[in-house]
Amino acid sequence: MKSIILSVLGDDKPGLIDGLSSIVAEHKGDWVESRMSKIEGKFAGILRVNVPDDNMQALVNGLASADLGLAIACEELSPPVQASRYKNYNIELVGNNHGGIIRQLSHVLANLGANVEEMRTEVIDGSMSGERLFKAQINLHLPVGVNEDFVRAKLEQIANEMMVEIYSYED
Amino acid sequence: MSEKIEALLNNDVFADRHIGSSATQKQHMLDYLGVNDVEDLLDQVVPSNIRRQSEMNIDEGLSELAALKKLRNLARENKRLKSFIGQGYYNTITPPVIQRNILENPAWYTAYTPYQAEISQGRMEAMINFQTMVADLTGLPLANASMLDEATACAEAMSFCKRVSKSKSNAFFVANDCHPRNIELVQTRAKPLNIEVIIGDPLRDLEGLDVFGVLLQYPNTYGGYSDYSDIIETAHNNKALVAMSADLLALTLLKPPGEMGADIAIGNTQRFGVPLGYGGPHAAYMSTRDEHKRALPGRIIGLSIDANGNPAYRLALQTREQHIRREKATSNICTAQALLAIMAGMYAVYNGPEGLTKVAQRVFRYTAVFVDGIKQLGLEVVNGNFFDTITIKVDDSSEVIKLAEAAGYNINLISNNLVSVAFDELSTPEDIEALWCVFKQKSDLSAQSIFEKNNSEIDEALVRTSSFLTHKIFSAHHSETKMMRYLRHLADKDLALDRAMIPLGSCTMKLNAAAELIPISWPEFCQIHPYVPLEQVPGYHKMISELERMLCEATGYDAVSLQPNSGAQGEYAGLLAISAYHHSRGDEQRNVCLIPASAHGTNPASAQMAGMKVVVVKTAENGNIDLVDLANKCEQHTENLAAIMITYPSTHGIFEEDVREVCEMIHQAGGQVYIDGANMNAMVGVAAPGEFGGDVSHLNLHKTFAIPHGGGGPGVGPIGVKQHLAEFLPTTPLKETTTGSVSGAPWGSASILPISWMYISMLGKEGLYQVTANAILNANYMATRLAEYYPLLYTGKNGRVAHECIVDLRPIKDAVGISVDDIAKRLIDYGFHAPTMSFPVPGTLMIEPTESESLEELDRFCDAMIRIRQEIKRIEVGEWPEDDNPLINAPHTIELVTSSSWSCSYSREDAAYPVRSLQKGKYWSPVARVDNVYGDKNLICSCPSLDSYT
Repeated sequence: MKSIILSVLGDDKPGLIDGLSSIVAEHKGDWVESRMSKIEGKFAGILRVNVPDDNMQALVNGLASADLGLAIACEELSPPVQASRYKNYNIELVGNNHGGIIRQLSHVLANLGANVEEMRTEVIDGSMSGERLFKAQINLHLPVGVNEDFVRAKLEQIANEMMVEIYSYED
Repeated sequence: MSEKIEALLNNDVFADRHIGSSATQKQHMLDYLGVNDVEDLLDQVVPSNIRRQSEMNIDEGLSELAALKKLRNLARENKRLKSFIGQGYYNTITPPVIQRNILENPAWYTAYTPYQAEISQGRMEAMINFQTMVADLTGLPLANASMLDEATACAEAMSFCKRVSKSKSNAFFVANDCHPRNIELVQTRAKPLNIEVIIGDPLRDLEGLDVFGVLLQYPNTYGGYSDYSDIIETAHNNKALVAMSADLLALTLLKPPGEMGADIAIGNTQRFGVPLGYGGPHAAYMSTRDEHKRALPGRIIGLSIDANGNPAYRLALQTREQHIRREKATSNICTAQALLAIMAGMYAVYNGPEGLTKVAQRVFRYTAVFVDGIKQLGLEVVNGNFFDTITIKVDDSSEVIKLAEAAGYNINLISNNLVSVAFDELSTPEDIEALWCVFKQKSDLSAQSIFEKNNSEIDEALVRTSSFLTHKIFSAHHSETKMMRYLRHLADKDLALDRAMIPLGSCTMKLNAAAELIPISWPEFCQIHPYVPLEQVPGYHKMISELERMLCEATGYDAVSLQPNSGAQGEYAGLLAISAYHHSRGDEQRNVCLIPASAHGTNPASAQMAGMKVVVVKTAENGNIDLVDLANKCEQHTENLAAIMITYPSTHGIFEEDVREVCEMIHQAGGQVYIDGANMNAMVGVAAPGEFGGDVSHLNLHKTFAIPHGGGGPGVGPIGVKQHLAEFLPTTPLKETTTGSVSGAPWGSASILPISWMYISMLGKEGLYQVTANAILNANYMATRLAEYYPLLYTGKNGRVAHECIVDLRPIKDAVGISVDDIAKRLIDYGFHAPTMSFPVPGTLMIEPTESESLEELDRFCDAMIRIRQEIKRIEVGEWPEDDNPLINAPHTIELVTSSSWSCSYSREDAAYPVRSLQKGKYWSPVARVDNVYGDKNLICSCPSLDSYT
């Protein structure tokens, strides 16, 4: 059995998920987990599929040739890392929005060796003062031994006014 | 002729002065709305099931002169003895130039909190002077723009330590020589948070204790001072933080807290030119190290640049207020004491470092002479060293206090055989001699001869060696001419109510009438120490109980506490009362507080401080509380429901039809109903929260009852309660309760209560009713005019709004990228302060005109908004590019419009004079749009160095 990760992106229209899942099923694939979302009329998703070793290439080809109007990329998943060496965190951020903030954020997270499970960001108007605020909710794993204060300090370096909340949780 | 001669007397009706529109103008608006009269409108707006059952029992209005005369007679009943009580409150000289040009100047006192940075540059400069003064004197680099009072600041310091300390301990150490009021407030605050407060001698008892924080007083309540460096180092080694409550005047002579290693400094700045006022309002301060900037509560002014690269001030670290999890907030400070902070900062500007040191030296020398004399008279002085206060052993304290009173002095009673005497800048040699006679009646000591022999010095190890107030601003304005012009220069930069309407939704920026403000300068009100014996201030207490009674009438409650000195403190006090009530019935488990998603951000923060667990109730599509979700939550928490906090009319500016049902559901589930009175201006005389289901409400006297906003404080947030909660109101010397105190002074900001007393007395029953009706009329007129151009987000069942309305700008943002901010800044070009931005819904403006604005002013604002909509249209049709138009470039400075090069896609006239009426009078923004991101990257919160102007 192989595990592959697919990302899909294209114009949103009815029947996309149905089309994808049919192709996966045709190749005896097992749809393990996925996150799909829609922003401004575009549909994007990321999914993990387990598929018998022999069928992998056929599934990839099948997806590539499918007429769904989606750009699809896939990669084989390397053997899973041992979960026990990681700790789970929810991180919430609010700061003044500025160009490149996501890049800075990703850079910090990468340097920490973080494995981002889920990240939601938005830019909104601050109440009363009206400034543009960047908000993020990040669900991630960090190697055991990375200290929470260290994470906070690194994130706070992005901006003087970045407020960071960190919660750790068990799986 | 049957006419009476008295009919010719002046009987000016104040309501006609306070309400902006004439009868004809009101009729015009009613016609526009298609209603017959205000009764007709009120019937459409206010649900019939919440209308008042009984009229308010309030007299008809008095004329301005009659009300002033009545209040003056009350004021004269107060006896003014000279105060030597101290305890954080001292006599001070308010420089007349500051009294007249700030305290009594509407350009300063009618301004709003400086959220709109561009039109608030003047007061932000004044506040950064205050921050610099605090930072310099305390030796800690980052100060906020004021706290409510010293005792509250001590409690905030405890929360600060808890937030920042890495210690696992749940105990907070408070030095037993702190002012008793500071200890008391810390205890009140600690109780619901389950923090253990350990009180002891810091020099002896701290050893070996595991605590997360320490509070010290410097100089202490007895008057002595010690070097705390070692204690602080030990505390740090045990992961605890140390806060020092320090006297700023003393710090001109004493080694500052920062140099001893303290993490936080707090204290009162009252003695820097702010009258005693029977307890308030005054500005307290808090400063800390840079590394703790995110934990510092309150507002902070910072330096940034504007779009043209010129230096400009802004509110820094606003992200603290915008925190994601509001219920995680540990401080609910919203209102501060901006006006008083500005006065204190200007006192330092006017006196400069030498002037302040001279005052401090004089106070110290007079104290020293007094000490020598007391010793010569054979009495024992308890404190080994002193700055301005000494504690003396006596046989019978109350006897001494009586003798002092007979001689015209108030001194401080500590215990049966200890009294203290505190000197200040008004103390004289005659006072010294008179006070000696209080302690030894046959004293014939001469202050002069003792002074000649006296050689007291501050303890050598604790002499201040570092310089302070070295910035040039503190030496530039020492003559009255310069000071007067500096204050005028700053005020001219700002837009306050003395220039134009400030249509801030949920803030009720109504007229603060001159007659209401006059009494606050009367010495019988403003020069009284908060701890004087009650029998000296019968006038104050008659005024206070009359005001309490009138507020009960206006709200339908049975008892009122005037102690909370901000709306948020009121929320906290109200929730403490609810908690105490449940506890008194053995319902200790009731700790869940339901809060609708649309609530004001202070609600969840206050609930958290009161030890309650916040559970959010959904808002339905129409903006109202989702009754299904509410029923579910009630059922789910029926065992432990403590309260619901709702705002009425809602934060969406709507009279929700089912508020009675909401209240009944909560009561049935065993909970109490807290009705946030922020929007009371839509209800006085028309509906009473105490009648339709509320158990407790706070009122913002600085919204509904005419106390000015002061550029961000003072505020007063009294709470009204039904009878069953009356015994759980905050403690006062008149009534001890289990709840404890929530403010430094027993009656909070007592000296500004005359404003609301005057407001109610002059309007009277009928006037108050007319105020409410006209607030609703004005709001509906504007809403209807604007609805054609901007969609209204919410309306009530007849398509009407309450006293404010929300216009939705998100469609515009989606279409052409023009944001709320762009429209707000463009309004500055039209001479207006923007309405409330993105509260309670992001991407919207909330507009509240109040009753004080006239039809002309409402139209002027609507015309500006409509014209701006037309400007947006020109972007939509491609006439102006999305990245070059008068909205995104707003506000336009005179410098920009008159520069020899002009490359914008629109004309200079479009930029500066988009409507003809501006040619008659134009407010120019002193800076272009302020850059938040730059200020974020370069955090500067004290007076800028000269090179930042190059």
